[in-house]
Amino acid sequence: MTERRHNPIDDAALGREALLRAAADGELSAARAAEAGADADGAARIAFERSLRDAVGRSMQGNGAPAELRARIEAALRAEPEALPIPMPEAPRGGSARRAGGVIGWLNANRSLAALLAIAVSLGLFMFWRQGQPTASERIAMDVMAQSLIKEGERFTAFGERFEKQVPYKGRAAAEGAMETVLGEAVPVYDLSSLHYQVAGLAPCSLSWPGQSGQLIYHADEGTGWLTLIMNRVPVAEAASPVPEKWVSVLRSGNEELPPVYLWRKGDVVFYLVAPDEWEGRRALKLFDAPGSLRRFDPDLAWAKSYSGGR
Amino acid sequence: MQRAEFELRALEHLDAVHRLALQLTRRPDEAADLVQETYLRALRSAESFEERGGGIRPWLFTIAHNLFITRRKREARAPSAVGEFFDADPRSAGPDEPPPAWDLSSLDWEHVDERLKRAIDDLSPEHREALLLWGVEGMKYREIADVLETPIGTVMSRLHRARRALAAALEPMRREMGIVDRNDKTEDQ
Repeated sequence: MTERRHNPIDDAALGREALLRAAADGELSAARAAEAGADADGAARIAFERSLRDAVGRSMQGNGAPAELRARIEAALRAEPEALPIPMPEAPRGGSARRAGGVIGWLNANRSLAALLAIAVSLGLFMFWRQGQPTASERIAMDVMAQSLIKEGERFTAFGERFEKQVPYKGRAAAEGAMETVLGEAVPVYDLSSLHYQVAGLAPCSLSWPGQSGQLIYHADEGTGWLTLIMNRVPVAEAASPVPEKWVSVLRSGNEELPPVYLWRKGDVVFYLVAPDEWEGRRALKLFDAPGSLRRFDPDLAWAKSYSGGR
Repeated sequence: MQRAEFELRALEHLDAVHRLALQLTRRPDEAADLVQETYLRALRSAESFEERGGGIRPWLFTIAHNLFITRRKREARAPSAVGEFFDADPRSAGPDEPPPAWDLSSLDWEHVDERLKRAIDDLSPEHREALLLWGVEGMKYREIADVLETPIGTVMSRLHRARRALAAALEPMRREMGIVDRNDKTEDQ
């Protein structure tokens, strides 16, 4: 935002009518405005423009924001995550760029998910080699964990692509039907159109998911566009690596252009969450009652068994 | 800006932001969502907001404006759909033709208001937006240009076109009321 300026506009290039409008709008210096309105015609035009402006003001004044909206915004502001250990990312320039892509955007992002995971694994490998000589069994453990994450990312990506192909989102019923077609089982789909910022009421642990593992897809398609969070949970015994219970591990690419993957554990269940961006991810984590602390995922630490909150 | 201070000051302008959102979207539900998104985005950046004399209101307007443009682009899936926001010639201040020069003493402005509302509804979002910031919020050309992140000439052009459209919409009323347009030579004869 540039500094506010009150200087009169440069009126040298303005024609007679534009000058009169500027005079009526208080954009000219007092002397110049007086000069413009010195003759009867000019004064009448200026008076007309001012009357028109007043009438426009009355016509567009409105009745103010509805009380319900005010209450909703106050609640939403209160629900915003407080400062977390990792600084909140800047809002995308010019609006919600990543969410703007909607499902398509999500898919585009997730096509790169495997690449993201590969980057993370590569980083881990680099750290690994830099720090010392791993034993063969340690190497295998890290590789298994990395492969697990890659597989998870690929599965999400494949699922998203199939879902998108089968059903452009046309409401909850259509989405649920498509989910069953794609996955072969009924999976809850929640339309958050009216609950954009109140996902808490849909806490996944209170839901009965089919089978021991399951996915939830949250869609919101109200105004600001699609919000898709894909979440998966697996029994802790099926997790390929130690997952801490005290914090959420965040897997990001260096340039943060790829979607974040969150990993955490609650009791015997390990949760994965893919969000369109870190902002949405943070909000979802809070609402899902995930641990309040976030740490960058570091495969090397996992490999070294240095998680303080591990099993 | 601290969070508590932000909430206090930002909520003071809720009516104004809602008014802008309503003029842009023309749909109460969409406007409400735009307002909510505006406030959440503002909150995210509240700590980096620097007071520069214009207060928090223009900043909120800018966020709402940008969010609206982003939405429209997304909905249209074609950036050109809102090209007018960016493509207007910044050097153009609009034709310098005179507006109707009616006998103002005869014009019943109260009666004009309803017709004016309908004419405003027919304007494009960008014209309504400029008109609102000018007519209701009382902003200067330069301030509007800052909010819309557009050259001042574009603001003047939009205001001119909007006012010309309103004047044209009021033309039948002028005739009904028998008000003389001093620019209309045929009527003078």
